[in-house]
Amino acid sequence: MKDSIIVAKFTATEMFKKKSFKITLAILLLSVIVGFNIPNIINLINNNNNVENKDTILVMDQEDIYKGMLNSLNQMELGYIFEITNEVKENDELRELLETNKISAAINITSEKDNIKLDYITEAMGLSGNILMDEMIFTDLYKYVKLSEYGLNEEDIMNINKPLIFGVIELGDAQSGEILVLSMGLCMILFFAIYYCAYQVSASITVEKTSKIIDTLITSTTPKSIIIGKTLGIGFVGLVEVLAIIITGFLSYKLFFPAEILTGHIDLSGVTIGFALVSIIYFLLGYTLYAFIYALCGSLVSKPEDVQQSGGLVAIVVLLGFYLAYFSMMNPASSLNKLATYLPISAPFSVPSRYITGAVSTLDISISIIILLLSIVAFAYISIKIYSSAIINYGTKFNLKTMIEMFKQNNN
Amino acid sequence: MGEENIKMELIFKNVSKAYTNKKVVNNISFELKKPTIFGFLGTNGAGKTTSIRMLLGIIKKDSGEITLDGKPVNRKNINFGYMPEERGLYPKITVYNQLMFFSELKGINKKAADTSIKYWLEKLNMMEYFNMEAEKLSKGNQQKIQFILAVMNDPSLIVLDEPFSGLDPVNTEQLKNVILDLVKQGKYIIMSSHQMNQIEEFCSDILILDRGKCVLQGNLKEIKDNYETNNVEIITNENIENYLKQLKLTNYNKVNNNYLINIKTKDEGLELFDILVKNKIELIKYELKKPSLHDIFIERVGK
Repeated sequence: MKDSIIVAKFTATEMFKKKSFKITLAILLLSVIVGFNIPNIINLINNNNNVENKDTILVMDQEDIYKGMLNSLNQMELGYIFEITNEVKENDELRELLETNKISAAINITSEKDNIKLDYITEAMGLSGNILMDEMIFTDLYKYVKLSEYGLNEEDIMNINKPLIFGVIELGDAQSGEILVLSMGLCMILFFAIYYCAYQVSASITVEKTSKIIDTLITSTTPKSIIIGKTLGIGFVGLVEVLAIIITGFLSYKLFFPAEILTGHIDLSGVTIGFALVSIIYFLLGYTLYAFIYALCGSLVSKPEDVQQSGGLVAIVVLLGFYLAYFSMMNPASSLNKLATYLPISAPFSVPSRYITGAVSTLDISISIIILLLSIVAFAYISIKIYSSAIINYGTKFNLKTMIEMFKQNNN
Repeated sequence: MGEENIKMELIFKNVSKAYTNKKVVNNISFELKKPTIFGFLGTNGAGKTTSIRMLLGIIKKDSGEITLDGKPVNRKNINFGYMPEERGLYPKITVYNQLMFFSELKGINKKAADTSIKYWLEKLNMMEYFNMEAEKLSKGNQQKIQFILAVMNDPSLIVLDEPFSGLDPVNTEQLKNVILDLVKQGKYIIMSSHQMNQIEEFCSDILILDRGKCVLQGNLKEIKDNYETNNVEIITNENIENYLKQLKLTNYNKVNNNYLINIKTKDEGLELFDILVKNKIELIKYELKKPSLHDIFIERVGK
């Protein structure tokens, strides 16, 4: 164990010293801070627009279909200036107005038999296809005009237009969409954190093999100490990175984020100390499981450019685990959730995400942790046995048969 | 450093190893009973590295015994140093930091490690590279760092795989002196090399491997004594080709008037000497030569 700690300390120290690590972490933290400030940035831009640059929309109602009611659009505070006219402008004139930014869009209202037609005129729709106005406003306003013609007063019209209240009552364990959004987000964060950190183990081992330092290393300590040390060292660096991101995220949320934006979208009531503990435990277990598998992959390649190829199969397994956790979460009543909780490849992504929704019992968590621990021991055992031979074999083309042979050799 | 003479007996007996039914080391035996430099020779793929890896406990042997003072060798009971053929250092890490890392792994405490690292860097004129990243060192200097990695823990057994490859003559000479010092200090050294002149210069005992099998083994001097004289070297100011023709000595190399002539027996060489003296040929050098280790190696494994 002493050697493992020496390897872990050396690995972690050298990783912390790397310029690439410092730059990547700085970019990540900055992204988190900027991310939590996006609503403020948007508000700032909008406020500036409100004061100085409100979009002007030209509304042309040649037939006076709206009976002079279009002026009320400017009283609705929709964020635009509506310029109402009964004249129809030619396309060339409209193009010039658009190109000189005198207007942002135009709407031409005409009637065709019994239908009212609104043509939205803009420079180019682009890929986003954004239309500045909500057409429902024009529909509602037209209804108002027509109902007024039938002699209804304003109160009657308001009563007719009142929206229905539609509610959903869930009788099972299913949770609200607000919690599920957070849960799915967490599932993705865990996936990226675990995958990224575990992959680093493979990359680090490949560097040692391809730079030929492994011959010296392997005679200085045991393969077991190297793998465990690397896993511990890189895991520690990964944990520091994840914690730095979480703390920066938390502080940015508290300091900059307008909490009211989340109301109705994300429910943070499940974010407790217990949840934090479960997330950290599963991050560490998930990382350790995949780190041992990636350590084996790293030892199988003779050239750094082959790391991707060697880790390809593991990447598919990680993705399978992630998708199983992610998609079963979308249907909380599905029995796939149980499978995702117990299966070692998906449990690290599934359990913390389900914990936040309250959909996983203590017994499920206990069983899942036991299965994960047993899987880690099994994978560590197999990885160390094959690694011992593979790491000093250059140029050998590895396949399942050669790996089984190496495992047997070191098992005698 | 390491002045005391450690007595030990390393025995490598009937050791074999096979990969996918192919024997890469086949029943190899040798012994080291006193501080010495043991020459471990063979062509590429002859089984040298596999034998060394078994000796150091990196890979398991299929059969045979490797014992140190009667006990089976494992990583824990032998303090060894290893300079592998495949050189390698962490490219982005400073010389001192990587030497310190390996010292810690070899169980040396920080203070002793610091002293040892500075001693060796000083001894090999490397102090100026103390804080330099390994990738910025020249190939020869990287090799010297690799050598320090092998000896800084003051091991009793040192395995050096091609220690001089890539070194310039000055550094080769420096390293030779250090290795000879280590033997004087009582170290047991196993040296593998393709440079036969260096093996001849250093090693008292040798073993030659060919495709996993031992083809020649023993005291180098005794091995050479058992070979007949097979060449005569003559340096003169005159052309002696007529005399060679007269004695039917047709197999020879000539550069200017320096001759290396292949002879079947020592008497052929002496007969040539008599003729040259009788004809008053001025001889600058005349030497009857036994086959070199290079010749012996080619004869044994070059077929």
